[in-house]
Amino acid sequence: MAAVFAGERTFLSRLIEPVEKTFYRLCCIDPTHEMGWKEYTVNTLVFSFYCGASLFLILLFQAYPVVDADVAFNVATGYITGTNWQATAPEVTLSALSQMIGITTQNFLSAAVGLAVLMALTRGLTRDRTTTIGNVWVDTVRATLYLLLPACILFALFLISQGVVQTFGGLQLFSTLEPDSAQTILTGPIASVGAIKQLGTDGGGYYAANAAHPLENPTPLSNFFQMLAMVLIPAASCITYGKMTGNMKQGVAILAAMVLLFIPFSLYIAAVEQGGNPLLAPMGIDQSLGNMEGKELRWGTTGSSLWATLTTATSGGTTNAALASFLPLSAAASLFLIHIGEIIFGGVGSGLYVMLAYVLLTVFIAGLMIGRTPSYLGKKIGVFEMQMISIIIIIPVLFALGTTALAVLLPDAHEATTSPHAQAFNDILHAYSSASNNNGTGLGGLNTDTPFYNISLGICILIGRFGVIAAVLALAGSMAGKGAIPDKKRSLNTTTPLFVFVLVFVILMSAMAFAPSILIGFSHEHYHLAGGL
Amino acid sequence: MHKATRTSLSLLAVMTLLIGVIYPAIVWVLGQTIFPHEANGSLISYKGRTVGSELVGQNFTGERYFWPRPSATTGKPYNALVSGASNLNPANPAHVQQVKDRIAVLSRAHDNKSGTIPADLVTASGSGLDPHISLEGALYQSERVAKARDLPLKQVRALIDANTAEKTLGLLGERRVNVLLLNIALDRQTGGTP
Repeated sequence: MAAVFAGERTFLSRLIEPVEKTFYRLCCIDPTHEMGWKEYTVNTLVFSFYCGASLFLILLFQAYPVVDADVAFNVATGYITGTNWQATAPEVTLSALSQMIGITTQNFLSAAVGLAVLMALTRGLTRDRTTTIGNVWVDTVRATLYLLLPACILFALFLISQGVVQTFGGLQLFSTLEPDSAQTILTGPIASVGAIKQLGTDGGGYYAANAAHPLENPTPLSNFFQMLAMVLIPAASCITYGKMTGNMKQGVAILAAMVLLFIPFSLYIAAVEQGGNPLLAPMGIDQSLGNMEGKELRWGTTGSSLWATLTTATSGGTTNAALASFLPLSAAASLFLIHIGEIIFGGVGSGLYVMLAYVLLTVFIAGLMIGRTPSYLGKKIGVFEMQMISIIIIIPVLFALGTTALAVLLPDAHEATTSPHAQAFNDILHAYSSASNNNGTGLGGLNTDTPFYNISLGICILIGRFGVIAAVLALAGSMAGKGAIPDKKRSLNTTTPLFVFVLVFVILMSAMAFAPSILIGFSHEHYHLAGGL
Repeated sequence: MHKATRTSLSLLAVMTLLIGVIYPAIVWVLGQTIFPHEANGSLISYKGRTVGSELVGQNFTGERYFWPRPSATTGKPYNALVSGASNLNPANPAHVQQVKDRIAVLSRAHDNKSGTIPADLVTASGSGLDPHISLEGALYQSERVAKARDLPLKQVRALIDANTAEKTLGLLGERRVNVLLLNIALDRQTGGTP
């Protein structure tokens, strides 16, 4: 990966280089041109705008079925940001053609843009006294051609071997064994979408049931490798980052912090789900399989819990079980993972660039505590950098909680949920948290296919993505302009286990902003359940 | 800004061609050539006609067949056109009532000696199309099916064993029985609905 973004040759170059050069020629891209952060940001935003506009128009003019403008807006914002919020059932809303030329394309490009921004930030942190941070067109093209496309072709083939469909056959009608009974199965080009939705941490399924659907995720093995695919690029990005900074330990330290946060959450969620629903226990039900409502037997409670942890820790947003039917304590834990900001592995590119903001914040706090000038990789962290870091961290908090508060106050909005008790509040909180952090999971009790939700969630998605990207690129530009002062004695060592622990602590403290909102709803639900109604 | 627009639009066009058209086509050609059965939905035929996909669950209600898990799909159970879960949270009274109703139906149809019902038989799956039930869920129903088909219980249990999948690598997933394959195996032995 490091070679791909440094512009060096890789083993795929012989095959891909001609395509790459044709792309540059056709699109009038000068691959040697280096951009400053403002040019990089403007180009990123303009490109994403046209991506969104084209998807919006594809959906609006799709021959069948007819899509409303508010739904098209919501889908378009979701897919250009890697959020992939599903307000409606995709098998009902999207045609096979839209799935291919619209959805699949944006799944690739949103992941590629995420990687491009990460590379820009990495260059900003590692370059010495310069004004440029790379070329967004080159980064996007190279991420797609050298990384995402080859990986997806291989992964799609593996998925087909497990039983994921790849056909243009459309509907399959047949009558079944019992007299007068029939079934119609919807097929389509699913393996090609399924591969990028996991590898690109996009998350939009071909079917409403997403990866719980047997034709999208047919076997325990396909389930396992789809989970692996979610973390593959985000985890590899840490190593790439280490390589690009010239000190592998920098990348390993960040990866260690991610693993350290991930393991307790996955064990906790699995343990809670394995316990089963306390309300069903007295009815003579054998719950040795755990809480099975909304879960498939192919991977059971354990596979569903691990997936739920991964999909909320990364910005995956795919689901292989109904999150709405998770027990309150495990649902709260997975929501908290979203609140942490999707930096535990995180989205492709986006996970690590936000994580790096936390690393800088940690350096700043730790530096102040021990009375040293805060500097990272030899570069001083100044006022402007801290402002940008604050923006990166505050945007999701502000929008997730602000819009939740708004929705709860509006009678129409809060009547859209079918859930009783405090769960109605949880549904809304989860929806806006998921949108503002570009996750894409939802609690199905809430019907978000209303103009209010489609538009307000779409706005949260846009600001949660592009507000953060602009701040990240500004940070990159400002850091690039600084000279590195290699002074090992005076600066904080950011590769020690101690630093990893402080980083984990700072991340948890930042996410505490969400703790009250989680406690209100989910603890109420939990005691409701434990008390036997 | 003008240049950014031109580059954006042309890049979007070539990317759409590559990713939106060529990439799915490559995967399609490779998939149809190497794994034709899987790429088309793992359809299975019985007596010369397609009766289902071994991956997608179906609804069975007759006495002579094993029943699948409850399904929460829109319109009717096991509607493969709109997949989905109940999305009811565990404390929802509607969910508790559903489970009570399912227990009542199962208890009427089965002579339950052990006193407990396996959880998968009273809970809906995430897709509403789960093709499996647990081994316990199949054993729970085995006496009813044996009686309806005039088969020795031992023979039905042998068929269950033959259609049971163990955990993959002893680790992934649950031990499970494919309902459609089991019911086809039963029909092979004693014929379909008279």
